[in-house]
Amino acid sequence: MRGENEASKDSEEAALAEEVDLPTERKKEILAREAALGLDHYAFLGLKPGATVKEISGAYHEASRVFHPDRYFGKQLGSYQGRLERIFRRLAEAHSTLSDEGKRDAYLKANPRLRVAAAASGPARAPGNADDAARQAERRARLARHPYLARGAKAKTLVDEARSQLVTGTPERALGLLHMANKLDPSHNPGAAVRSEAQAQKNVERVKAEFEKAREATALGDAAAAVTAYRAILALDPASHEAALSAAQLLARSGGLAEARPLAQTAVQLKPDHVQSLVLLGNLCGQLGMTKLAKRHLEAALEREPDNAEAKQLLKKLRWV
Amino acid sequence: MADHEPVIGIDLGTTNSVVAIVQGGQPQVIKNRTGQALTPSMVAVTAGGKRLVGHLAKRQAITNPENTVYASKRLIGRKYSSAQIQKAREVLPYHLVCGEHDDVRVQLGDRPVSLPEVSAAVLQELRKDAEALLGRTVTKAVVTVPAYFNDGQRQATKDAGRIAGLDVLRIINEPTAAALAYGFARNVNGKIAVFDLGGGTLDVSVLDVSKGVFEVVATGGDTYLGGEDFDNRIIEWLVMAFAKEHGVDLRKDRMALQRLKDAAERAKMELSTVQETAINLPFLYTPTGGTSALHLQASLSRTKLEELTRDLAERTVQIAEQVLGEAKVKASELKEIILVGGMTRMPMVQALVQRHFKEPSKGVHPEEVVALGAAIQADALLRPDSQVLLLDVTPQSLGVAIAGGYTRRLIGKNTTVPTSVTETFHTSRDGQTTVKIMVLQGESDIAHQNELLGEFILSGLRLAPRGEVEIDVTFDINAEGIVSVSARDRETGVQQSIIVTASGGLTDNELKEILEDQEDFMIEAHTSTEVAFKRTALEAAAKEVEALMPQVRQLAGSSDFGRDALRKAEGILVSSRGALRSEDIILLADWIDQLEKTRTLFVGVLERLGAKEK
Repeated sequence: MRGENEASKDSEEAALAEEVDLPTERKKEILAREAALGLDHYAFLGLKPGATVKEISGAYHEASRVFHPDRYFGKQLGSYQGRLERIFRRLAEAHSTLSDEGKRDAYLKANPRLRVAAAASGPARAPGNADDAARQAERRARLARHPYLARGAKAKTLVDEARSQLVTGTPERALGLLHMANKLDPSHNPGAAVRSEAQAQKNVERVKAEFEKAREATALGDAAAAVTAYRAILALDPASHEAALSAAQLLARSGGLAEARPLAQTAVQLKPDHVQSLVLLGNLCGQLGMTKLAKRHLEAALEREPDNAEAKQLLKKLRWV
Repeated sequence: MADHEPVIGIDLGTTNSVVAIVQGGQPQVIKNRTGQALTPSMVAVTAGGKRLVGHLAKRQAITNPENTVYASKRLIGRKYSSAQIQKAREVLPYHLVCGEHDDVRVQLGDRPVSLPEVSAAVLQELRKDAEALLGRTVTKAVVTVPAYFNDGQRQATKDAGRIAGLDVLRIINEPTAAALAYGFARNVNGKIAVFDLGGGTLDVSVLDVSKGVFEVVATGGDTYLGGEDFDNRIIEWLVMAFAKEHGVDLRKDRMALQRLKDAAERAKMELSTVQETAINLPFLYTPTGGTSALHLQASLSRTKLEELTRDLAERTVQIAEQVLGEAKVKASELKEIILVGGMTRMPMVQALVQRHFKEPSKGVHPEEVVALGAAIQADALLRPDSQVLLLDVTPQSLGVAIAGGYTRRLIGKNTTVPTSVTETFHTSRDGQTTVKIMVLQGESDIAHQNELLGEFILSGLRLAPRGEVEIDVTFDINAEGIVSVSARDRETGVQQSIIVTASGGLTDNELKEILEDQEDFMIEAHTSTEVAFKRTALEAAAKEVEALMPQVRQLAGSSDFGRDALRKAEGILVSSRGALRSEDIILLADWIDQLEKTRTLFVGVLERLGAKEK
């Protein structure tokens, strides 16, 4: 250990003795930074973990003033040329890593110790930010209520207009107006009731349109497009038994058994007494090797419709397995 | 050291050039011997064999179009067989011939002259002007080039300096120089964007400035979009009208075309200050067969000019938006936006910049600011107590060709220099004892669509199955901007390297052929890591688009355009999710690209709608 120390001391002395166009002070500064190359990005920039982007940029610019090779343009630098370039590269890397959100997150993930430290220094600032945000929100709300601005009143007329749009069956327009109203007077969330109604009306329309699309696609033999449409319907209206069943049937026919099963399951959950759904789910489970489940679903189907030929046949097949 | 040798800054422009120097701490433009700041970047040879430069060359251009070279900057550092040169050949009144290494030469009088020589003539003229003012010899300069110049074009510019007897200390980007000059004079702190629309090129850069440190954050542009494209729209319009009236195609007459060019440029410039201007070109065309000469008389209004060129102007702001996006800087964060280049005097361009970003900063002399910046950088390099430091970036990505004809990027565009990157590759064939390292510059994932900067061979590898021999490839860009590449066999320590000096002089197709021929010698990236990398990028891009969808749906979902865009975006999302399992790097890159475009569109829409509601 001691030997190593002495060796590094020796090499430092040799470097200081090198005849170059640099004052001794600067040489020492450069050697010290070079010795720090092994530190983490924050420490290398002379910052604490969790420093802000502004602090990072500032430290980077400050250090560049000393260590950028251009500062010594045209001078005899000897081994210091390489040292300066190494230091500057590292500065640039530290800066570009820490000032980009994505890169910083990845770096912190790879260095858990720093992440903990950064998180620890985070909350110290957070209350300030939250306070600021709260104060700002309050100010905005106060301004919105101010009679001079009459935003509330304006918002109200917009809500009224939206309601009348809803009556004429144009939910898109209504939603646009409500959005404007909300922008005018965000604190009171005007027309919340109207909005949910408009959203519902709009969803109904979209569901209708998607069903149309699905039917068209099925007619054209484009099963994939039809399934996409049915899935969209389920996203809008999770209670649509028809969409779930149709999608499952289409997928089952085109061989996508694993994908079809959860949809069939949904169909059964939505209508536990629907025999066709039960048979389909049973069939799918059977083909996927889940024999027990398959039997249970098929038996449930037969319970409700004792002479369902398909269920009987499938159950028979399963007993043989 | 105190009274160091004078160093000048030169803006070697497409149409005009300017020289400047820092004296007593203040940058100033050096006027030429005719008393003007701008020297036309023109070189001519008269019938008597005399060489003319600058104003003298410009003055006789009309009567001697075939031996007068203008806009040579658009040609410098390019290959003769490239599409751009072939296109230029058709429209330029002077003759281009092919040099020995597929380089471009200009036939001037009885001699083919290389493009660096043409630029050197202009540089020499500027050098003489500076020497006349200073009363001493000048041998050092900083020269500016468009940010989008590739390594070949920069090298050719350096060569021009050498021919002119100038040691070019540094090549810096024009928008960077403009920001330097602007920030230096006003002590700006914060983010600055520079929008430089010159005669031939558009350059956009974003800088972060604090107390004399100018950090370039991002830079980009288009090498084929500039004032001359605006002029050409006017020429087309005049030619069409003339053809309708007289049934004559003026473009076939070189002398008429030169006169039209001058008149169009003049009209365009005038319309920046007045609403309407007249174009009179008497005796423009003399028909064969003895009938009397034809005259051209037209009047052009600002509205008509704007109608003719609106799409060009809109393209410029779109490119600027893209650069801001790359820099992850919002228009609202900009402290200043500086307009540079004569074209930015056009009211429509100013209005578009204001509408898309913010009000342009005043008090910038668009034609002189770049040369002033070059002089400031020259001074900063040589004066030890200078406060100015420029942190510049590489304008284009650098990488190597890998097996399959793909590119592996090692240094991305907009990386601060000096920089170096090392990556480990391995052999792509069983028993491969030789690898070829081909150094590429450009943004394409397909190797042959990039510029080949140089190549070298590392041989004597151990006979081993594919993938077993590992090779470290290191890219290094030093502070001077010089690229060096080395490859090292990890086992034996054998090393080979090159310093990239000049472009290989190859066309796309030739490069493609070479790549195919050398398939056996290529290295391979760790494909799995590459694929994994692209997949993560694809997922991230998809997530970003998805996150924006509800907002877009709420704000723009009711318009036809919005519905259409949303439907398309949904399609892209579904398909890209499908592509996620693919091993094909190109396919993955393609979908990433599509998603990026969608994201940019959404962000643009949201910002615009958000702004409207305020």
